Amino acid sequence: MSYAEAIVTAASDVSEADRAKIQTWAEREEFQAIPMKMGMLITGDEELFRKVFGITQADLSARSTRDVSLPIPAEVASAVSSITIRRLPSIDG
Amino acid sequence: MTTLLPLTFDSPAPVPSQLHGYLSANSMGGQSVLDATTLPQTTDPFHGTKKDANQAKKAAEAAGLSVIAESRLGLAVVGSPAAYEELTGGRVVTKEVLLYAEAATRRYVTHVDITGKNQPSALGCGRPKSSVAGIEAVILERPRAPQASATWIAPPPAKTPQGGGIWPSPIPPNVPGFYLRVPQDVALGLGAPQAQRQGFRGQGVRVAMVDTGFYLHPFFPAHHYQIATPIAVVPGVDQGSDPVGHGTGESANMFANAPDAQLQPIRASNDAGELVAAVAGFMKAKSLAGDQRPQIISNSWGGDMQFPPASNTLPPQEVAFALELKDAVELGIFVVFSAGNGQFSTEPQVPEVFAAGGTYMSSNMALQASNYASGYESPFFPNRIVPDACGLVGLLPRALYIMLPIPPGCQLDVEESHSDDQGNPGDGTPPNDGWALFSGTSAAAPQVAGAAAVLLSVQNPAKPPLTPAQIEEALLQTCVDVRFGTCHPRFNNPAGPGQDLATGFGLVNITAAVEYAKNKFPASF
Repeated sequence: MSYAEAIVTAASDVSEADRAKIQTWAEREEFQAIPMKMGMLITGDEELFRKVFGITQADLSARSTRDVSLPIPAEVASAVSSITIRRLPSIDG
Repeated sequence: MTTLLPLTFDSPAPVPSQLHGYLSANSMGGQSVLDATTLPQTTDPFHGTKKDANQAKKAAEAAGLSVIAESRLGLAVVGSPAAYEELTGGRVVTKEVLLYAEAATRRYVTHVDITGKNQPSALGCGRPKSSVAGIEAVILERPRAPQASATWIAPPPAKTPQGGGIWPSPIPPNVPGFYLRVPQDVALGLGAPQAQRQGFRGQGVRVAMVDTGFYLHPFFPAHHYQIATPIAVVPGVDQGSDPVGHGTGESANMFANAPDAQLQPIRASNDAGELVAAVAGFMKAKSLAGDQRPQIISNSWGGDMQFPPASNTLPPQEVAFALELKDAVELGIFVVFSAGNGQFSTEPQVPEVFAAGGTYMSSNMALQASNYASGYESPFFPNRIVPDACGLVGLLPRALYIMLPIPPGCQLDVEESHSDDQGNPGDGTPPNDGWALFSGTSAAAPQVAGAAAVLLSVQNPAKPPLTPAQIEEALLQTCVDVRFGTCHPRFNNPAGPGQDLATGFGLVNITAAVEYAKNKFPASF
């Protein structure tokens, strides 16, 4: 199982309806969606991320060295300001 | 019989989703196998009647068990824990039992038991509900080791001590040079012994730790530490393992200060040990409710960014997670993050988060800033200094400083035992002994979490709990000032009198913090 998580940040003037739209989109794409104060955490298999966002494994692997910005689907473009896989944290020894 | 280690104790391991068992049909001779103490001349008295055998099978299947095989005596079955609970009215739980395993060494092995009213005391045995016909006993399979194999779980060292012994050892190995042992040296350095003698040991406090996982090293039961069933965030990974060893080792730092706190391990790593679910792990810890709700969340990890940053605004994904950290504190949870080992990360900069930095204590207890630990003024949050204060952390090049229990043969066990690529020597322990010397601000965060747990255990449970801000104030206002040394060369800030960019307010002193809190916040005591 290869797992990934991404933070979906909502647009600054997002309404409750827009939040619901993000949730509906995430669940329909079969992500697990965890509400955040400023958007949503979406989690799922790497394959799902590749399929939904049209990215490659190399794009995903880049998270070991940097944040990875994902394209915003047109369906939620009005409600979302960014979708980002954060750089993998390091353990602090 | 007295033993140095508990022979059995309630296990934090989860109950397996499928359990193999045996149902004994009612014995024709009238004596249940549960009451038998020896074998009769023949098995005849323990045979079931045809009617009982049929009823037993029907009852098993009605409860949800699948029958694998039948004999004149009973049935071999398999099914979910809920099916066994349905059959007995009891509760299926896990217990650790100290057993001889391979190569004449002992280790804790997870067993399954049925507990509850009217249930027999024999491990793994249950009695059916009175409404269940045809069955006199329910017996869960116990773990059995292949007698000729030395690879039951993980191989012990080639040379085992004469007369056996437990493996991995709960006692840390001796290696050359100066280093700290858990729990005693870490507790001493942080001023915990006096508070512990007064009975303030973290009792009743739950500490969640989001990390690489947790392995039940014999060190933990030997010290009677309380550990809740680990939670794994990444689907499909083993919630009771730790491929890196980091979460396991850092847990010992928390218990050093708060031996009676309860640890809730949250595994955020994948099978390779990468922290792929760090945000989800934190969100999981924050969302636990009821008896599982943590008062403290300890985090020994972080990211890294350009320093100084190109702009003093955070990217949105950093703001989004920072808001979650702030929200956890607003919910009354004390959140601690490691300051970083040269890293520059968002999490410890969040003003409401306690940022744990590093102070090095020498063999004669002289203090200096650890040059392994990050220390700086945040460019994102005004007047925010990272760290707030310090735990005990080693020095460059490798910070081999605290001997910690880890899974035998895990990544840290192997890595720390070898020289690094710059030729700096390893820790002097074998790569498969379940112990390694390591530290960093990863050690400081759980040490501070343990300190906070002690403060929360001092207060009167009938009174309003100390707030995270009050805990932080008590810890900061009573630190031992650290005036020498500099932090990590990336930041190169010196320690000096009072608050500084290398060590914050200095080294946490638990007993002094307890006294401060009692005097300053009487409403909670």
